[in-house]
Amino acid sequence: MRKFLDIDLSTQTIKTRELQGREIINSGRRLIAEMLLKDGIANIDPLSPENPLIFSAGPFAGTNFSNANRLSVGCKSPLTGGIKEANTGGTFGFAIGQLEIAGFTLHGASDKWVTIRIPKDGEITFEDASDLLGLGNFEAAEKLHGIYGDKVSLALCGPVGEYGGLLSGVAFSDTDNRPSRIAARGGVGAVMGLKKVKAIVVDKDKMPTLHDRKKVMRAIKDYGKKLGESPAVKSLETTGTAMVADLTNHMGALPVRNFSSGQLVEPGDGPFKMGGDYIRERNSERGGEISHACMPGCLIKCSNVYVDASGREIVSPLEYETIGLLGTNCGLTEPDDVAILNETANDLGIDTIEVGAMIAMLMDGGQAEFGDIEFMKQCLEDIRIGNERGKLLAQGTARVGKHFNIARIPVIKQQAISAYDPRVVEVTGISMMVTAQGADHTTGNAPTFKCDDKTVEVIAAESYKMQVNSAVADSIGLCVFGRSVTDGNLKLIADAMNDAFDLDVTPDEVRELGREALRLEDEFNRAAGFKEADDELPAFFHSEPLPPTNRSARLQADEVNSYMRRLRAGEVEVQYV
Amino acid sequence: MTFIVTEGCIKCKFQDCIEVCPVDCFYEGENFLVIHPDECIDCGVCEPECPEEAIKADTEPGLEKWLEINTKFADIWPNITAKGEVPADAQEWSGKPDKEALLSEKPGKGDG
Repeated sequence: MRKFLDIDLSTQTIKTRELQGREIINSGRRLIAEMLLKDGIANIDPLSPENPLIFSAGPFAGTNFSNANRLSVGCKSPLTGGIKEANTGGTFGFAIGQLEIAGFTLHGASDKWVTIRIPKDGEITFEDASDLLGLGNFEAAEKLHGIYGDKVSLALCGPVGEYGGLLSGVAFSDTDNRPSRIAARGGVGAVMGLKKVKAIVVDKDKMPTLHDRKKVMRAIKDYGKKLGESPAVKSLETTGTAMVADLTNHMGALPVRNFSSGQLVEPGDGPFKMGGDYIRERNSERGGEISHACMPGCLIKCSNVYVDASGREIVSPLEYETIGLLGTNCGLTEPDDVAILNETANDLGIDTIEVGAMIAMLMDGGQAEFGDIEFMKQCLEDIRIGNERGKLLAQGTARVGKHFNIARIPVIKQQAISAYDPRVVEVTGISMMVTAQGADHTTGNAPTFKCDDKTVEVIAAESYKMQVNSAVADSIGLCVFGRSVTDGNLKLIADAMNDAFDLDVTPDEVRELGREALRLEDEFNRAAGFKEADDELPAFFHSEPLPPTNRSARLQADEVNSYMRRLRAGEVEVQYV
Repeated sequence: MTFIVTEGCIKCKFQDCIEVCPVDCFYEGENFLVIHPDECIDCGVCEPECPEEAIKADTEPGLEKWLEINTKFADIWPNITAKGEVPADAQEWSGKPDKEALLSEKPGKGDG
C-alpha cells in the first residue's frame, strides 16, 4: 500500500489518499506537473499561500534499490514564475518510502512557525518551531536530532527561506544526518518559508511492503551488477562529479569569471586544482572520503566528504556545479576556498549555482575583483543576516543584475545558467533554453557530445533524447547518474515496478512518463504566460566569442523550438539509447 | 561505517536480514551470521529486519569486539544469499542475554 497526504497547514488537518495501481508509479516531475496544472496554479502568485509545495518520492523509495531514493520538490517557482521541480538525494525520500508515503502536499500556510512531525506510529503532529527560527541548517538539525533521535530524516527551511529569499532551497538529511542535500533550485525554500514550515521530521522504519519482494531484490542485485560493470559509474565513484571540471576546462566550457572564459588552466600548464583528479588526490591524502553515498543503497557513491589539511571536515559534498559557479566563475582557484563557501551555503540552505552566478556577476559589474573571497563571504553573511543588502542579493542573479543595471546577466527564465557554457556545450545549452524549469543542466545534460561539427538540428535531437531520459529518471525517483545502465534497461525498471506493485507496465510506458512530464511542464509554462522569446540565451553569449575556443552562440530560440516541436510531436524518430 | 551482526543473533539466526541485502554481504557460521565490513554498503535496510535487533552500525559505542568478529569470520565462513532453515530452537534463544560464549567458530553451509 502507498498513500499520498494532503496537509492543510491553516487547519492542521490531513487527508490521506490510498494510491491504486498505476497511481503508485506516477511520481516526481510528472506528478508535480500534473497536479499543478490540475489545480490551476499557473496564474497564482508563487509567494502566496495558494502555491502548494509538493514532495514526491519514486516507487522504489524506502528500499535499497540503488540510486532510486531521489525526492522531487515542486511548486510554481517564485524565481522563474514557471513550473519547478527541484530534485535531491539524501534520506528523506527513503524515510517517507519506508512509511509507505509516496508523497505529500503542503497546502495553505500556518499561522505560526511549525515543525511537522511524521512518526512511524501515531498521528502526524504540528510542533512549535519558534526556537529554531533564524538558525542555520546544521544547528537546527542538531536540535531536532536531540529531540527525535538519529533514526529520522529532516527537511529544513533555512534562514534565507524564512524571509523569502528566492535562492533558497529545502535542505534534507544525508546518510550521515548532515542537512546538506539540497533541493536547491527555483526558490522552493522561499515557498516552504512563506508557509511557516521550518522543518519536517520523518521516522525511518523498514523496507516497505512489496508485492513480490524476492523478485524485486533480484532486480536490485541485477541492477547493482550492471552498475558495477559500467565505466561511467566507476568514474563517478572514484572521482565524483568534480571530474566534469577536468572535462569542461579541457574543452573550454567551464564557467570562468562570469562566463568570460571557458578555461581556468591551460591543459599542461600546471595542475588544475579545481578538477576532480586533483581534488580526489588531495582529499585522499588528507584522509577525506572520496566516495560517499548520499542515498541509502546507492552503489554509484559519487558524493564525497572533503576535509582540510588537518583532516577536519569542511563540507560534504563538494561537487561540480558548485566548483564551477561558486568557484571558477567567481575567479577562485583553490578548492578549499570553494569548500568553505559551500559549507556556508549549505548552512543557509541556498542554491550554490544561483548565488555563485550572482556574486560573479557583481564582480563583473565592478563591485569586487574576481577571486575576492572576503567579498564573497560578506555577501553570504549579508544573506544570512537578511539585512537590506542581503535581502536584495537573496533575490537571485536576474533581479540583482537588473537592480544594479549589470550588462552580462547569465540567466534563462530568470534562473542562473549551470556550469556548462552554452557556446560550447550546445546540447546542454539547448536543454537549458527550452526547459520549462529555467536554466537547468539536469533537464538534459550531455557535456561529452561533440557539437562543433553538428547542425543545430542534430544537437536539438540529442538534447531532446537527454531531456526525455532525464525526465523519466526525475519522474520515478532515479538519479540520472545511473543512466549509463537505466537508459538502455527500462525493461529492468518496468519489470521491477511490476514485481513491486503487481502491475503490467511496459518499458515504452516508462519512457512515456518522461515525455508526458515535458509536455505537461510546457503546458504549465504556457498557461503562466511564457513565450518562445523566454527561451533565448542572454545576448552576450551571442556577441562575445568565448576564449579559448572563440565560439559564440549560434542557438536561437525560434530555430531550436522549430526542431523541438517536431521532436515532441514524434515527427522525428529519436534513438533514446 | 558498516553494519555488523552482534550477540543477539547467536543460536537464533533468523536470517530475515539476508532477504533484503542488495550486495549479498552476509556470511554464515554454524549458529551465527556476520556481515563483511568491506562489502556492506551501509544501506541499513537489514537493521530493522532483525527480530533480535542484533544488527547495529559499527559507529555505536562498545562494538569494537563485534566488528573484529564480523571481519574475521567474513573471511572464513561461506557466503549466504538466501534465507535458509532457521534453527529449530531459535525461539527458545530469542532475547536471551550472555550468549557470546556459545558462539561457534564452525562455518555454516552457506549457498554463495
